[in-house]
Amino acid sequence: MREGSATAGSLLEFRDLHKSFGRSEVLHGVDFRVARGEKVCIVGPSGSGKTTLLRCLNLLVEPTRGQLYYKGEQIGSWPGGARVGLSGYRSRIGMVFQHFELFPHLTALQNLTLGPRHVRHEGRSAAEARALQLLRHVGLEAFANAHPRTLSGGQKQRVAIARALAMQPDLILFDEPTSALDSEMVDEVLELMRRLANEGMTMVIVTHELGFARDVADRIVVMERGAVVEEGPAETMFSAARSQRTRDILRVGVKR
Amino acid sequence: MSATVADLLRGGVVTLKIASGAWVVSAVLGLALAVLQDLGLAPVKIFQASLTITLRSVPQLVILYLLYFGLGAVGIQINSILAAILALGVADAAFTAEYYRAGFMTVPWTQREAGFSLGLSRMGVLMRVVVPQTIPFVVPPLLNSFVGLLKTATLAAAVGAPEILYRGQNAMSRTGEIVLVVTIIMGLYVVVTMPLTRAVAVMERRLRSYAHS
Ligand SMILES: Nc1ncnc2c1ncn2[C@@H]1O[C@H](COP(=O)(O)OP(=O)(O)O)[C@@H](O)[C@H]1O
Ligand SMILES: [Mg+2]
Repeated sequence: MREGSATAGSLLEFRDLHKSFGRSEVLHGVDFRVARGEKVCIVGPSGSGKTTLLRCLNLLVEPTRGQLYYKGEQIGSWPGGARVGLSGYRSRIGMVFQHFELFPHLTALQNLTLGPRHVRHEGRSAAEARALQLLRHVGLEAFANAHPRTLSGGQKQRVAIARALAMQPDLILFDEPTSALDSEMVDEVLELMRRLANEGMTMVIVTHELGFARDVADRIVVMERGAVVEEGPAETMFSAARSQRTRDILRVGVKR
Repeated sequence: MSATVADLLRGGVVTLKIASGAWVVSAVLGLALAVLQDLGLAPVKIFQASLTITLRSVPQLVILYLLYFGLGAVGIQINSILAAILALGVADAAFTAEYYRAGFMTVPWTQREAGFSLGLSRMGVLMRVVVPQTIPFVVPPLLNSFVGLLKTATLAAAVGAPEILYRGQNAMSRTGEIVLVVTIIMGLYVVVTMPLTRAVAVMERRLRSYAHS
Protein backbone atom coordinates (compact mmCIF):
# COMPACT_ATOMS: atom_id res chain seq x y z
CA MET A 1 0.00 0.00 0.00
CA ARG A 2 1.23 3.44 -0.92
CA GLU A 3 1.56 5.57 2.20
CA GLY A 4 3.52 8.79 1.77
CA SER A 5 2.21 12.22 2.57
CA ALA A 6 0.03 14.93 1.10
CA THR A 7 1.13 17.18 -1.73
CA ALA A 8 2.58 20.38 -0.31
CA GLY A 9 -0.01 23.14 -0.12
CA SER A 10 -3.08 20.98 -0.53
CA LEU A 11 -5.97 21.53 1.84
CA LEU A 12 -7.74 18.30 0.99
CA GLU A 13 -6.36 15.45 -1.02
CA PHE A 14 -7.46 11.96 -1.94
CA ARG A 15 -4.87 9.64 -3.47
CA ASP A 16 -5.76 6.61 -5.50
CA LEU A 17 -9.43 6.70 -4.54
CA HIS A 18 -11.38 3.58 -5.43
CA LYS A 19 -15.01 3.11 -4.58
CA SER A 20 -17.11 0.04 -5.18
CA PHE A 21 -20.78 -0.46 -4.54
CA GLY A 22 -21.12 -4.16 -4.05
CA ARG A 23 -19.11 -5.73 -6.84
CA SER A 24 -19.12 -2.83 -9.22
CA GLU A 25 -16.33 -0.32 -8.96
CA VAL A 26 -17.47 3.21 -9.81
CA LEU A 27 -14.25 5.13 -9.04
CA HIS A 28 -11.09 3.58 -10.42
CA GLY A 29 -8.18 5.25 -8.65
CA VAL A 30 -8.92 8.95 -8.69
CA ASP A 31 -6.32 11.44 -7.49
CA PHE A 32 -7.97 14.60 -6.33
CA ARG A 33 -6.68 17.62 -4.46
CA VAL A 34 -7.73 21.14 -3.70
CA ALA A 35 -5.51 23.89 -2.32
CA ARG A 36 -6.62 26.50 0.18
CA GLY A 37 -8.57 29.21 -1.64
CA GLU A 38 -8.71 27.22 -4.84
CA LYS A 39 -11.89 26.78 -6.88
CA VAL A 40 -12.10 23.43 -8.62
CA CYS A 41 -14.94 22.58 -10.98
CA ILE A 42 -15.67 18.95 -11.74
CA VAL A 43 -17.49 18.25 -14.99
CA GLY A 44 -18.42 15.06 -16.75
CA PRO A 45 -21.38 13.08 -18.00
CA SER A 46 -24.03 11.73 -15.70
CA GLY A 47 -22.93 8.54 -13.97
CA SER A 48 -19.23 9.34 -14.27
CA GLY A 49 -18.77 9.33 -10.49
CA LYS A 50 -18.74 13.04 -9.63
CA THR A 51 -21.20 12.77 -6.77
CA THR A 52 -19.50 9.69 -5.41
CA LEU A 53 -16.16 11.51 -5.47
CA LEU A 54 -17.60 14.43 -3.48
CA ARG A 55 -19.19 12.09 -0.96
CA CYS A 56 -15.92 10.27 -0.48
CA LEU A 57 -14.21 13.59 0.21
CA ASN A 58 -16.32 14.23 3.30
CA LEU A 59 -16.72 10.52 4.02
CA LEU A 60 -20.47 10.43 3.58
CA VAL A 61 -19.67 7.18 1.83
CA GLU A 62 -16.87 4.88 2.89
CA PRO A 63 -14.10 4.70 0.29
CA THR A 64 -12.92 1.25 -0.73
CA ARG A 65 -9.27 2.11 -1.27
CA GLY A 66 -7.05 5.17 -1.11
CA GLN A 67 -5.54 7.71 1.27
CA LEU A 68 -7.21 10.88 2.44
CA TYR A 69 -5.25 13.88 3.67
CA TYR A 70 -6.56 17.03 5.25
CA LYS A 71 -4.26 19.97 6.01
CA GLY A 72 -1.33 17.63 5.46
CA GLU A 73 -2.51 15.11 8.01
CA GLN A 74 -3.67 11.66 7.05
CA ILE A 75 -7.35 11.39 7.88
CA GLY A 76 -7.67 7.81 6.81
CA SER A 77 -6.38 5.04 4.63
CA TRP A 78 -8.54 2.38 3.01
CA PRO A 79 -8.94 -0.53 3.31
CA GLY A 80 -8.66 0.22 6.96
CA GLY A 81 -10.61 3.25 7.89
CA ALA A 82 -10.71 6.79 9.16
CA ARG A 83 -8.23 7.81 11.84
CA VAL A 84 -10.21 10.72 13.11
CA GLY A 85 -13.74 11.25 14.34
CA LEU A 86 -16.05 11.64 11.38
CA SER A 87 -18.16 14.33 13.02
CA GLY A 88 -15.27 16.67 13.65
CA TYR A 89 -13.87 16.12 10.17
CA ARG A 90 -17.18 16.63 8.38
CA SER A 91 -17.96 19.74 10.39
CA ARG A 92 -14.98 21.44 8.69
CA ILE A 93 -16.33 20.72 5.21
CA GLY A 94 -19.55 22.27 4.00
CA MET A 95 -21.79 20.49 1.55
CA VAL A 96 -24.46 21.88 -0.76
CA PHE A 97 -26.79 19.36 -2.37
CA GLN A 98 -28.57 19.34 -5.69
CA HIS A 99 -31.95 19.12 -3.97
CA PHE A 100 -31.07 21.55 -1.16
CA GLU A 101 -31.88 19.17 1.68
CA LEU A 102 -33.01 21.91 3.99
CA PHE A 103 -34.61 20.58 7.14
CA PRO A 104 -38.34 21.02 6.51
CA HIS A 105 -39.33 21.09 10.18
CA LEU A 106 -37.08 24.07 10.88
CA THR A 107 -37.21 27.70 9.85
CA ALA A 108 -34.48 29.15 7.64
CA LEU A 109 -32.82 30.58 10.74
CA GLN A 110 -33.02 27.27 12.61
CA ASN A 111 -31.57 25.48 9.59
CA LEU A 112 -28.55 27.75 9.95
CA THR A 113 -28.19 27.43 13.72
CA LEU A 114 -28.58 23.65 13.99
CA GLY A 115 -24.95 22.86 13.24
CA PRO A 116 -23.40 25.72 15.20
CA ARG A 117 -25.54 24.97 18.24
CA HIS A 118 -25.40 21.21 18.32
CA VAL A 119 -22.06 20.45 16.70
CA ARG A 120 -20.01 23.47 17.68
CA HIS A 121 -21.96 23.94 20.91
CA GLU A 122 -22.34 27.65 20.44
CA GLY A 123 -24.81 29.53 22.59
CA ARG A 124 -28.20 30.21 21.11
CA SER A 125 -27.97 33.98 20.87
CA ALA A 126 -24.50 33.95 19.35
CA ALA A 127 -25.53 31.33 16.80
CA GLU A 128 -28.68 33.24 15.91
CA ALA A 129 -26.87 36.53 15.55
CA ARG A 130 -24.41 34.96 13.16
CA ALA A 131 -27.15 33.16 11.26
CA LEU A 132 -29.05 36.41 10.77
CA GLN A 133 -25.91 38.04 9.51
CA LEU A 134 -25.43 35.19 7.02
CA LEU A 135 -29.04 35.36 5.87
CA ARG A 136 -28.50 39.06 5.24
CA HIS A 137 -25.37 38.14 3.31
CA VAL A 138 -27.37 35.89 0.99
CA GLY A 139 -30.19 38.43 0.76
CA LEU A 140 -32.75 36.46 2.75
CA GLU A 141 -32.85 38.18 6.11
CA ALA A 142 -36.58 38.77 5.67
CA PHE A 143 -37.12 35.01 5.44
CA ALA A 144 -35.43 34.11 8.71
CA ASN A 145 -38.62 32.69 10.17
CA ALA A 146 -39.92 31.16 6.95
CA HIS A 147 -40.16 27.41 6.56
CA PRO A 148 -38.37 25.92 3.55
CA ARG A 149 -41.60 24.86 1.82
CA THR A 150 -42.56 28.53 1.46
CA LEU A 151 -39.31 29.43 -0.33
CA SER A 152 -38.54 29.28 -4.04
CA GLY A 153 -35.87 26.87 -5.28
CA GLY A 154 -33.33 29.64 -5.63
CA GLN A 155 -34.07 30.88 -2.14
CA LYS A 156 -33.79 27.38 -0.75
CA GLN A 157 -30.39 26.89 -2.28
CA ARG A 158 -29.19 30.23 -0.95
CA VAL A 159 -30.35 29.21 2.53
CA ALA A 160 -28.57 25.88 2.05
CA ILE A 161 -25.36 27.71 1.14
CA ALA A 162 -25.77 29.96 4.18
CA ARG A 163 -26.30 26.84 6.31
CA ALA A 164 -22.97 25.48 5.09
CA LEU A 165 -21.30 28.83 5.76
CA ALA A 166 -22.70 28.93 9.29
CA MET A 167 -20.28 26.16 10.25
CA GLN A 168 -17.38 28.38 9.14
CA PRO A 169 -16.03 25.54 7.00
CA ASP A 170 -12.57 25.40 5.48
CA LEU A 171 -14.10 24.44 2.15
CA ILE A 172 -17.48 23.80 0.61
CA LEU A 173 -18.46 20.97 -1.73
CA PHE A 174 -21.24 21.77 -4.21
CA ASP A 175 -23.01 18.93 -5.99
CA GLU A 176 -24.77 20.40 -9.03
CA PRO A 177 -26.19 23.26 -6.96
CA THR A 178 -28.26 24.69 -9.83
CA SER A 179 -29.37 21.51 -11.61
CA ALA A 180 -32.68 21.28 -9.77
CA LEU A 181 -33.54 24.95 -10.31
CA ASP A 182 -35.86 26.53 -12.83
CA SER A 183 -33.73 28.48 -15.26
CA GLU A 184 -34.77 31.89 -13.94
CA MET A 185 -33.37 31.00 -10.52
CA VAL A 186 -30.01 29.70 -11.63
CA ASP A 187 -28.38 33.11 -11.78
CA GLU A 188 -29.14 34.17 -8.22
CA VAL A 189 -27.39 31.06 -6.95
CA LEU A 190 -24.42 31.34 -9.30
CA GLU A 191 -24.14 35.00 -8.37
CA LEU A 192 -23.89 34.09 -4.70
CA MET A 193 -21.30 31.43 -5.47
CA ARG A 194 -19.26 33.97 -7.43
CA ARG A 195 -19.29 36.21 -4.39
CA LEU A 196 -18.10 33.40 -2.16
CA ALA A 197 -15.34 32.70 -4.65
CA ASN A 198 -14.26 36.34 -4.58
CA GLU A 199 -14.25 36.26 -0.79
CA GLY A 200 -11.63 33.53 -0.98
CA MET A 201 -13.70 30.46 -0.05
CA THR A 202 -12.22 27.14 -1.10
CA MET A 203 -14.78 25.50 -3.36
CA VAL A 204 -15.19 22.17 -5.10
CA ILE A 205 -18.09 22.42 -7.53
CA VAL A 206 -19.70 19.72 -9.62
CA THR A 207 -21.52 21.62 -12.34
CA HIS A 208 -22.82 21.63 -15.86
CA GLU A 209 -22.68 25.44 -16.00
CA LEU A 210 -19.65 25.76 -18.25
CA GLY A 211 -19.76 29.54 -18.42
CA PHE A 212 -19.64 29.72 -14.67
CA ALA A 213 -16.86 27.14 -14.52
CA ARG A 214 -14.83 29.09 -17.03
CA ASP A 215 -15.20 32.32 -15.04
CA VAL A 216 -14.75 31.03 -11.55
CA ALA A 217 -12.67 27.85 -11.64
CA ASP A 218 -8.95 27.89 -11.11
CA ARG A 219 -8.85 24.30 -12.25
CA ILE A 220 -11.21 22.06 -14.16
CA VAL A 221 -11.38 18.33 -13.60
CA VAL A 222 -13.05 16.28 -16.30
CA MET A 223 -14.40 12.90 -15.26
CA GLU A 224 -15.72 10.01 -17.25
CA ARG A 225 -16.54 6.44 -16.26
CA GLY A 226 -15.11 6.71 -12.78
CA ALA A 227 -11.79 8.23 -13.74
CA VAL A 228 -10.30 11.66 -14.34
CA VAL A 229 -9.91 12.10 -18.10
CA GLU A 230 -8.01 15.33 -17.93
CA GLU A 231 -7.50 18.26 -15.61
CA GLY A 232 -5.85 21.63 -15.82
CA PRO A 233 -6.20 25.38 -15.43
CA ALA A 234 -9.54 26.67 -16.68
CA GLU A 235 -8.01 28.80 -19.49
CA THR A 236 -6.03 25.98 -21.08
CA MET A 237 -8.79 23.43 -20.62
CA PHE A 238 -11.27 25.52 -22.54
CA SER A 239 -8.85 26.62 -25.26
CA ALA A 240 -6.34 23.81 -25.55
CA ALA A 241 -7.50 20.59 -23.93
CA ARG A 242 -5.35 17.64 -24.83
CA SER A 243 -8.04 15.05 -25.41
CA GLN A 244 -10.85 15.20 -27.92
CA ARG A 245 -13.22 13.88 -25.27
CA THR A 246 -12.47 16.82 -22.98
CA ARG A 247 -13.01 19.23 -25.85
CA ASP A 248 -16.38 17.62 -26.57
CA ILE A 249 -17.50 17.75 -22.95
CA LEU A 250 -16.36 21.33 -22.46
CA ARG A 251 -17.83 22.50 -25.73
CA VAL A 252 -21.31 21.13 -25.52
CA GLY A 253 -21.70 20.74 -21.81
CA VAL A 254 -23.31 17.59 -20.65
CA LYS A 255 -26.86 16.41 -20.84
CA ARG A 256 -28.19 15.76 -17.38
CA MET B 1 -77.70 5.19 41.42
CA SER B 2 -75.90 8.55 41.70
CA ALA B 3 -73.52 7.02 44.22
CA THR B 4 -72.78 4.26 41.73
CA VAL B 5 -72.18 6.76 38.96
CA ALA B 6 -69.86 8.82 41.17
CA ASP B 7 -67.96 5.68 42.10
CA LEU B 8 -67.62 4.63 38.47
CA LEU B 9 -66.43 8.11 37.54
CA ARG B 10 -63.75 7.94 40.21
CA GLY B 11 -62.81 4.58 38.72
CA GLY B 12 -62.75 6.19 35.28
CA VAL B 13 -60.25 8.73 36.54
CA VAL B 14 -57.98 5.93 37.74
CA THR B 15 -58.39 4.21 34.37
CA LEU B 16 -57.40 7.43 32.62
CA LYS B 17 -54.42 7.73 34.91
CA ILE B 18 -53.27 4.19 34.13
CA ALA B 19 -53.80 4.61 30.39
CA SER B 20 -52.02 7.98 30.29
CA GLY B 21 -49.12 6.75 32.38
CA ALA B 22 -48.78 3.61 30.27
CA TRP B 23 -49.01 5.72 27.16
CA VAL B 24 -46.12 7.92 28.25
CA VAL B 25 -44.04 4.88 29.18
CA SER B 26 -44.86 3.30 25.82
CA ALA B 27 -44.14 6.47 23.81
CA VAL B 28 -40.79 7.06 25.50
CA LEU B 29 -39.64 3.45 25.67
CA GLY B 30 -40.86 2.80 22.11
CA LEU B 31 -38.83 5.75 20.88
CA ALA B 32 -35.77 4.51 22.74
CA LEU B 33 -36.19 1.04 21.21
CA ALA B 34 -36.66 2.46 17.71
CA VAL B 35 -33.60 4.69 18.08
CA LEU B 36 -31.46 1.82 19.36
CA GLN B 37 -32.59 -0.36 16.53
CA ASP B 38 -31.83 2.39 14.03
CA LEU B 39 -28.33 2.85 15.44
CA GLY B 40 -27.96 -0.88 14.87
CA LEU B 41 -25.44 -1.77 17.56
CA ALA B 42 -25.15 -5.56 17.40
CA PRO B 43 -25.57 -6.52 21.09
CA VAL B 44 -28.45 -4.09 21.49
CA LYS B 45 -30.07 -5.54 18.39
CA ILE B 46 -30.13 -9.05 19.78
CA PHE B 47 -31.37 -7.95 23.19
CA GLN B 48 -34.00 -5.82 21.56
CA ALA B 49 -35.20 -8.43 19.11
CA SER B 50 -35.76 -10.91 21.94
CA LEU B 51 -37.48 -8.26 24.05
CA THR B 52 -39.77 -7.34 21.19
CA ILE B 53 -40.73 -10.94 20.50
CA THR B 54 -41.37 -11.53 24.18
CA LEU B 55 -43.46 -8.42 24.63
CA ARG B 56 -45.50 -9.19 21.56
CA SER B 57 -46.22 -12.80 22.33
CA VAL B 58 -46.88 -12.67 26.07
CA PRO B 59 -50.35 -11.44 27.18
CA GLN B 60 -50.27 -8.09 28.96
CA LEU B 61 -51.91 -9.65 31.99
CA VAL B 62 -48.99 -12.02 32.41
CA ILE B 63 -46.56 -9.10 32.27
CA LEU B 64 -48.70 -7.32 34.84
CA TYR B 65 -48.64 -10.34 37.15
CA LEU B 66 -44.90 -10.63 36.64
CA LEU B 67 -44.35 -7.03 37.68
CA TYR B 68 -46.83 -6.90 40.53
CA PHE B 69 -46.38 -10.30 42.13
CA GLY B 70 -42.89 -11.00 40.78
CA LEU B 71 -41.43 -7.80 42.19
CA GLY B 72 -43.37 -8.41 45.38
CA ALA B 73 -41.75 -11.82 45.69
CA VAL B 74 -38.28 -10.27 45.61
CA GLY B 75 -39.30 -7.71 48.19
CA ILE B 76 -40.07 -4.76 45.94
CA GLN B 77 -43.59 -3.62 46.71
CA ILE B 78 -45.18 -1.33 44.14
CA ASN B 79 -48.79 -0.25 44.16
CA SER B 80 -51.21 -1.77 41.70
CA ILE B 81 -51.67 1.41 39.67
CA LEU B 82 -47.95 1.90 39.16
CA ALA B 83 -47.57 -1.80 38.30
CA ALA B 84 -50.31 -1.47 35.68
CA ILE B 85 -48.74 1.69 34.22
CA LEU B 86 -45.36 0.01 33.86
CA ALA B 87 -46.61 -3.37 32.63
CA LEU B 88 -49.04 -2.01 30.06
CA GLY B 89 -46.57 0.66 28.94
CA VAL B 90 -43.73 -1.78 28.46
CA ALA B 91 -45.95 -4.27 26.66
CA ASP B 92 -47.20 -1.55 24.32
CA ALA B 93 -43.71 -0.20 23.63
CA ALA B 94 -42.91 -3.11 21.33
CA PHE B 95 -45.66 -1.88 19.02
CA THR B 96 -44.96 1.81 19.48
CA ALA B 97 -41.37 1.21 18.40
CA GLU B 98 -42.70 -0.03 15.08
CA TYR B 99 -44.71 3.16 14.56
CA TYR B 100 -41.56 5.19 15.05
CA ARG B 101 -39.57 2.91 12.77
CA ALA B 102 -42.17 3.27 10.05
CA GLY B 103 -42.06 7.03 10.64
CA PHE B 104 -38.26 7.09 10.33
CA MET B 105 -38.59 5.50 6.91
CA THR B 106 -40.64 8.44 5.65
CA VAL B 107 -37.58 10.68 6.07
CA PRO B 108 -35.33 10.42 3.00
CA TRP B 109 -31.78 9.27 3.60
CA THR B 110 -30.50 12.47 1.99
CA GLN B 111 -31.90 14.38 4.97
CA ARG B 112 -29.64 12.37 7.20
CA GLU B 113 -26.72 13.08 4.90
CA ALA B 114 -27.40 16.80 5.21
CA GLY B 115 -27.17 16.33 8.99
CA PHE B 116 -24.00 14.26 8.77
CA SER B 117 -22.39 16.84 6.52
CA LEU B 118 -22.84 19.42 9.29
CA GLY B 119 -20.97 17.11 11.62
CA LEU B 120 -23.91 15.72 13.57
CA SER B 121 -23.41 12.23 14.98
CA ARG B 122 -25.75 9.39 14.09
CA MET B 123 -27.60 10.03 17.32
CA GLY B 124 -27.65 13.77 16.65
CA VAL B 125 -29.07 13.22 13.18
CA LEU B 126 -31.76 10.94 14.56
CA MET B 127 -32.83 13.26 17.36
CA ARG B 128 -32.54 16.58 15.53
CA VAL B 129 -33.37 15.68 11.93
CA VAL B 130 -35.24 12.39 11.71
CA VAL B 131 -37.40 12.19 14.84
CA PRO B 132 -38.87 15.71 14.58
CA GLN B 133 -39.93 15.00 10.99
CA THR B 134 -41.42 11.71 12.12
CA ILE B 135 -43.70 13.19 14.79
CA PRO B 136 -46.64 14.07 12.52
CA PHE B 137 -46.66 10.50 11.25
CA VAL B 138 -46.61 8.85 14.67
CA VAL B 139 -49.18 11.02 16.40
CA PRO B 140 -52.22 9.24 14.86
CA PRO B 141 -51.03 5.70 15.68
CA LEU B 142 -49.97 6.87 19.13
CA LEU B 143 -53.45 8.28 19.76
CA ASN B 144 -54.91 4.99 18.57
CA SER B 145 -52.68 3.18 20.98
CA PHE B 146 -53.97 5.44 23.76
CA VAL B 147 -57.50 4.35 22.90
CA GLY B 148 -56.31 0.76 23.08
CA LEU B 149 -54.68 1.40 26.43
CA LEU B 150 -57.92 2.82 27.83
CA LYS B 151 -59.35 -0.63 27.22
CA THR B 152 -56.42 -2.74 28.36
CA ALA B 153 -56.18 -0.56 31.49
CA THR B 154 -59.13 -2.60 32.80
CA LEU B 155 -56.68 -5.48 33.21
CA ALA B 156 -55.43 -3.59 36.25
CA ALA B 157 -58.59 -4.80 38.03
CA ALA B 158 -56.83 -8.16 38.22
CA VAL B 159 -54.27 -6.77 40.68
CA GLY B 160 -56.86 -4.76 42.58
CA ALA B 161 -56.32 -1.31 41.10
CA PRO B 162 -59.51 0.67 41.77
CA GLU B 163 -60.14 1.46 38.12
CA ILE B 164 -63.46 1.52 36.36
CA LEU B 165 -64.05 -2.19 35.85
CA TYR B 166 -62.90 -3.07 39.37
CA ARG B 167 -65.40 -0.61 40.80
CA GLY B 168 -67.99 -1.77 38.31
CA GLN B 169 -67.67 -5.36 39.46
CA ASN B 170 -68.04 -4.24 43.05
CA ALA B 171 -71.09 -2.18 42.19
CA MET B 172 -72.66 -5.09 40.32
CA SER B 173 -72.29 -7.46 43.25
CA ARG B 174 -73.39 -4.75 45.69
CA THR B 175 -76.49 -3.60 43.81
CA GLY B 176 -77.18 -6.43 41.38
CA GLU B 177 -77.75 -3.81 38.67
CA ILE B 178 -75.56 -5.49 36.11
CA VAL B 179 -77.12 -4.01 32.99
CA LEU B 180 -77.13 -0.50 34.44
CA VAL B 181 -73.50 -0.64 35.50
CA VAL B 182 -72.37 -2.09 32.19
CA THR B 183 -74.32 0.55 30.29
CA ILE B 184 -72.77 3.38 32.30
CA ILE B 185 -69.28 1.99 31.71
CA MET B 186 -69.94 1.65 28.00
CA GLY B 187 -71.30 5.17 27.88
CA LEU B 188 -68.24 6.57 29.60
CA TYR B 189 -65.96 4.71 27.19
CA VAL B 190 -67.81 5.94 24.13
CA VAL B 191 -67.79 9.54 25.38
CA VAL B 192 -64.03 9.52 25.94
CA THR B 193 -63.06 7.46 22.91
CA MET B 194 -65.22 9.03 20.21
CA PRO B 195 -63.49 12.43 20.07
CA LEU B 196 -60.12 10.70 20.08
CA THR B 197 -60.89 8.45 17.14
CA ARG B 198 -62.42 11.42 15.31
CA ALA B 199 -59.22 13.39 15.91
CA VAL B 200 -57.15 10.51 14.56
CA ALA B 201 -59.26 10.33 11.41
CA VAL B 202 -58.94 14.06 10.80
CA MET B 203 -55.20 13.99 11.40
CA GLU B 204 -54.72 11.07 9.05
CA ARG B 205 -56.64 12.84 6.34
CA ARG B 206 -54.53 15.97 6.80
CA LEU B 207 -51.34 13.94 6.72
CA ARG B 208 -52.35 12.28 3.49
CA SER B 209 -53.01 15.58 1.76
CA TYR B 210 -49.83 17.00 3.27
CA ALA B 211 -47.77 14.05 2.04
CA HIS B 212 -49.26 14.44 -1.43
CA SER B 213 -48.75 18.20 -1.67
N1 LIG C 1 -25.40 4.07 -3.39
C1 LIG C 1 -25.10 3.54 -4.58
N2 LIG C 1 -25.25 2.22 -4.77
C2 LIG C 1 -24.95 1.65 -5.96
N3 LIG C 1 -24.46 2.31 -7.01
C3 LIG C 1 -24.29 3.63 -6.89
C4 LIG C 1 -24.59 4.32 -5.67
N4 LIG C 1 -24.32 5.64 -5.84
C5 LIG C 1 -23.86 5.75 -7.10
N5 LIG C 1 -23.84 4.57 -7.73
C6 LIG C 1 -23.37 4.33 -9.12
O1 LIG C 1 -22.11 4.90 -9.24
C7 LIG C 1 -21.95 5.49 -10.53
C8 LIG C 1 -21.55 6.93 -10.37
O2 LIG C 1 -22.63 7.65 -9.82
P1 LIG C 1 -22.52 9.17 -9.40
O3 LIG C 1 -21.33 9.35 -8.54
O4 LIG C 1 -23.82 9.58 -8.84
O5 LIG C 1 -22.26 9.88 -10.81
P2 LIG C 1 -22.50 11.40 -11.24
O6 LIG C 1 -22.66 12.22 -10.00
O7 LIG C 1 -21.29 11.75 -12.03
O8 LIG C 1 -23.73 11.39 -12.08
C9 LIG C 1 -23.28 5.32 -11.25
O9 LIG C 1 -23.17 4.21 -12.10
C10 LIG C 1 -24.24 5.03 -10.14
O10 LIG C 1 -25.27 4.20 -10.59
MG1 LIG D 1 -24.30 13.44 -9.44
